[in-house]
Amino acid sequence: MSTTGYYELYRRSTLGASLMDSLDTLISDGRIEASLAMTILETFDRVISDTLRDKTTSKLTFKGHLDTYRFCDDVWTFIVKDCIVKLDGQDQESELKCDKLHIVACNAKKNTE
Amino acid sequence: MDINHIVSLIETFNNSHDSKVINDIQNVLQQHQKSELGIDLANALLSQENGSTNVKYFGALTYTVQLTTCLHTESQLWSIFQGNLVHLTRMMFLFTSNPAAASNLLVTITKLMSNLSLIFLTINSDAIGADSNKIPAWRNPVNTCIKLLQHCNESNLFEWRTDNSEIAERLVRTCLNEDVPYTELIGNISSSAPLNKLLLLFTKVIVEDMNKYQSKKSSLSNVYEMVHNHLYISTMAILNFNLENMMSSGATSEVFPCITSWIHYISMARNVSAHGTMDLTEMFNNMINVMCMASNGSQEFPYSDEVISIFDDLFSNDPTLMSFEVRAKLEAIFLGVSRHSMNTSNDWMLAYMNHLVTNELYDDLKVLASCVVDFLQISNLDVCNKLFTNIHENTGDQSLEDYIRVLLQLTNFPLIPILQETYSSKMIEFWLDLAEGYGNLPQEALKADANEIAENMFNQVVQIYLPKISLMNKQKIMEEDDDQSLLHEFDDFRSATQDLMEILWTILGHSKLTIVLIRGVGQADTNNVDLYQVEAMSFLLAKLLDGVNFSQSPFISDAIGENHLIDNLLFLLQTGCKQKEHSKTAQVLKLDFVKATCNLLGVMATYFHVDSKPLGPIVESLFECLETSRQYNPIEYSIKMELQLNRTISLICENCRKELIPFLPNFIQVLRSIMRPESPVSHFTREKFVKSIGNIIQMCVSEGPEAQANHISNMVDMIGGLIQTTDAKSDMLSLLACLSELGSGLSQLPNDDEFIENNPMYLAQLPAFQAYWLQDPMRVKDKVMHLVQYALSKYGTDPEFVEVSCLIIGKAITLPDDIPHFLRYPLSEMMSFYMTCISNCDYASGLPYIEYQLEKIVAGFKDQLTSHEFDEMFKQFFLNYYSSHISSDPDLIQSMVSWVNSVLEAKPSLALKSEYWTQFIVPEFLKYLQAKEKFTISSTTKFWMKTLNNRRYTQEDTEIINALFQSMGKQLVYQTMFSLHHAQRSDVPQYAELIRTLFAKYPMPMKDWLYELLPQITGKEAIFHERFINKLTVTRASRATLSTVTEWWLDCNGLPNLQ
Repeated sequence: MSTTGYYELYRRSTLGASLMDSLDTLISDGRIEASLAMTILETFDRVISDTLRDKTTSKLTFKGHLDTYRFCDDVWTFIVKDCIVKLDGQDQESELKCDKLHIVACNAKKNTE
Repeated sequence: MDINHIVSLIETFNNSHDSKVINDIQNVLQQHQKSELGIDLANALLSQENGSTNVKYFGALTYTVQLTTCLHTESQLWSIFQGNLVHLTRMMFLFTSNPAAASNLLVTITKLMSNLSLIFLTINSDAIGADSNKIPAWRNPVNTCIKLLQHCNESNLFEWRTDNSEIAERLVRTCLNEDVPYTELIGNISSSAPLNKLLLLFTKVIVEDMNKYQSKKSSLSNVYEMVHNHLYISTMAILNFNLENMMSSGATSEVFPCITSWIHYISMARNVSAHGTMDLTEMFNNMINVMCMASNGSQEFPYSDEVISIFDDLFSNDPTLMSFEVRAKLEAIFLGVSRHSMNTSNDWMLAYMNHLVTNELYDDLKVLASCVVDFLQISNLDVCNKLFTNIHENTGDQSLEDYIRVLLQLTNFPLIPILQETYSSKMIEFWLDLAEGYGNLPQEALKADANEIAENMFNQVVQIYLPKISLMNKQKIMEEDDDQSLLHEFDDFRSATQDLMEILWTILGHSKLTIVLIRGVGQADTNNVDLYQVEAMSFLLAKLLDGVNFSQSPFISDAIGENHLIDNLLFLLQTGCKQKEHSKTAQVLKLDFVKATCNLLGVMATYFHVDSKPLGPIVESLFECLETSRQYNPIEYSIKMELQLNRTISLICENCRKELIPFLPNFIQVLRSIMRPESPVSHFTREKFVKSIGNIIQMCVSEGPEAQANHISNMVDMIGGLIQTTDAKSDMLSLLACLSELGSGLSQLPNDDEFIENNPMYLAQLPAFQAYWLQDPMRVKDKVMHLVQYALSKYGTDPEFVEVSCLIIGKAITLPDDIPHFLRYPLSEMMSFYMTCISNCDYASGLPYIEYQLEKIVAGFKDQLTSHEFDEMFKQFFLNYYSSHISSDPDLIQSMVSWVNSVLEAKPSLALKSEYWTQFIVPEFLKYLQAKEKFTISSTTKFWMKTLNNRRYTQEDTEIINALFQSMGKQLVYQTMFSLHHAQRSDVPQYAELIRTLFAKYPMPMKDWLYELLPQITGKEAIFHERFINKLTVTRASRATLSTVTEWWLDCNGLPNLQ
């Protein structure tokens, strides 16, 4: 969890990784300082977390065989095998099949700010 | 340093809109802020008598920059400390003297407080406080402020400068740790509302910063102690004074935010420090009094919403911060009954809810509901134990019954859910936890009548939620408000209720829940049916019946069969599809009717194995709706209805293939009707319908292969006839897709053992069918090939046509050899088709589809393929197009590398013994390691990992690879490390994985090569890389390699960790 009270896990998403790549370029070019990059990432942590909570309407359900589960440092990890994932958009549904689904879940209520 | 010039720069910086000007000024100002004269600059700016808010704020900000980036010595810290205190005191004096005139100073005051808060953390932290020569510990910033302000009142304001040593040095040092007795503190805040406000702001800023910095600073334990022993005491005195006097003197705007920040602080601190636990009982009691305060003859509740909002936050995050006694008091106020006390009254709660409902303050009602339900959740386990077990002998049964009655009443709050009340939706979680808690209780601890109590209570819960989730409420929401988010919330509420029913089923079972709902749907005849009720019950039933094995659950099957369930469902479906309505609300509800029916019919598909009689009317209804829904509904709704109907038909066909054989002529008839060019039915629906027919045809085995082939041939003829007569490109594409779906429908077998057991005839005839399709006397394969080629001759360059054609021709590649299929083409015929296809299509857009088929061919025919054939495929599909197309297109490079990877996965020797392996693949793929595109890097690193470490290698393969590594291992390591060094951060993990594999397979040469190559690649001395190489050796190719490689990459590129 970052100092702002938001999880940093979305930095590993495609969006977060691309943001970090861009920040690296700006730091290397001397256009921003590392501390500003950190502030930007902290803002990203907050905004993506709030946006996913407040602005999304799509839902995802899944069914499969729970292979592994653990709860460590307030983080749940599940590995679901032979999984069928249903994506319910506003207007349409689609179904994906995957051999292995890795779910990392954190306590949303810890986001105190 | 020309202060006037800087002032003018600050003003321009704040007023300009030219980004270049702003950027240039920012650079200049930042240089000044970080210079050795930064502290002087801050003083000068804050001392400007006529300086604007921007200038003063910039002065305070300059102190922040000095504090966070330029602090090297104790004297610097002391200067900043003095300066902040002097300027803060002066500004506080100005503000308290005339708050209205000095209101623009608040922003600068807050910044100075924030600086002092950082100083408070710094000088009280372990590292600095221990040395006697250093600045002494600072116990209580609130007291210091009060004392300095008292001195400021007694002296001339103009003397409050940092260059006045009497003030800045002596007075500040004296006041630093001077005590302020309680009476003096209260005297000060009671006589000055502005001072009261500023002190609340200061203490809030400090604890907010503590929250912010707690994870960054490791040595805050002294600070926690200091807060606990001093600041907490002053703050509680101020807060309680404010709360106690709220009725008479009103509230300052800072009270509630300050309380919130302190609750967050204590919630955090008590988990990280022994000094973090601080009692808030007096404050909570005062807050409850303020909450229950009513003015104007109980018509107004001035602070109730603020207090409830804080309690809501507290109960959802850290409820145990409130002591048990205070919670018991609150329970009595909220519910009017308490599990702990008989003297209870909820008059206030009733009056407050009445006030909210009367004045339509639904947002406040929502917060109250959230607060009450979060509060109930705290004691859920306790409630569960008292209700169902013998653990608490002395519990008064009557009070517990009253308690449950109140909870049920709350759940059944008499307003429209979501739109007006949220108790019912919030209480779902409570009932869910209670039901789960009950389910987890050990049998021996249960009361004798526990089951009866649970069934009775949860039955009432079911009865409450049925009308709550009725679409009638959705209708009211839509009529009242066009807000889509409310509709989504209502739909979420319905889904949550479905989940609750699933849990309640574990207690009530089929007999008291599923059967009750089945009878509820089916009790009335269609002339007398409440469609909203039927929909709500069907909606819940769809969840409860999902996965039920009807043949092993006769009581459920009997219940379905013995009443009007199917009739009423079909009536609901017909109403949804075929009743003409014009309003948007009615259309949305009609669509929901269709969804509920279709979902339930789909879930019940296996029921028709037990009783196939209803299949006739069901299929007839579904067909009728499918054909006519567009006549009765606007296009945007009929499309969605069609999708639902289609999905249900597919599910029923997939599960009831044998039972539906008598209806095959009806299916064909409907197909002919919807395939007509003028039919409005969508392409997608037609394609899926063909697949459903394929499912049924697959079971037409009783009359032998020829009869089945006749059906297939007729279908192909019908689709073929249409292909040859249509000119529209999209229609032709859809017809091709129909051929592909027919093939899919005949490929899939239901995925269960029951099917195998129940269809011995199908299994027994498999060999005969296999032999038949090998000969294919009706030449169905040729007909299909001819149709595909005909379509491609018209639109062969279109990638969509290439995709569907490839899917048709390759349909049977992945099917097991013993499953007969009318599209099982020989390898040579498929290869010839794909070669023609690739030469005629647009290579760049067509290759991915063909490459996918080639991957399947390698996997399916690996035992028949030789290296020579691999060479031929590689040459015909990739090499011939390399210089003209592939080399300049990263997507195509990825396709080519992926195909080679699939060969390495299926049968590596095909690639290793290829003439192109050393000539082309190894040297070219080595170059791709330097690519900048993520997907090229991903496939290429995967290729090298598979090449180095492959479980399918034979002894001979391993020897080839070892020889290869001997000759070009160093080059591979060079390319990998060079590419890693120049890679983006997000690509580092891909290279790290390859390095891990290299180290796992060849640890010894790797180490030497890295020592030799890294200085060449990075331009840094070998000593710089020594730690990295040693660490890599120690990680021994474990997962820790990634962090080691990332660390090295960051060091080499001079970048921060950012994690």
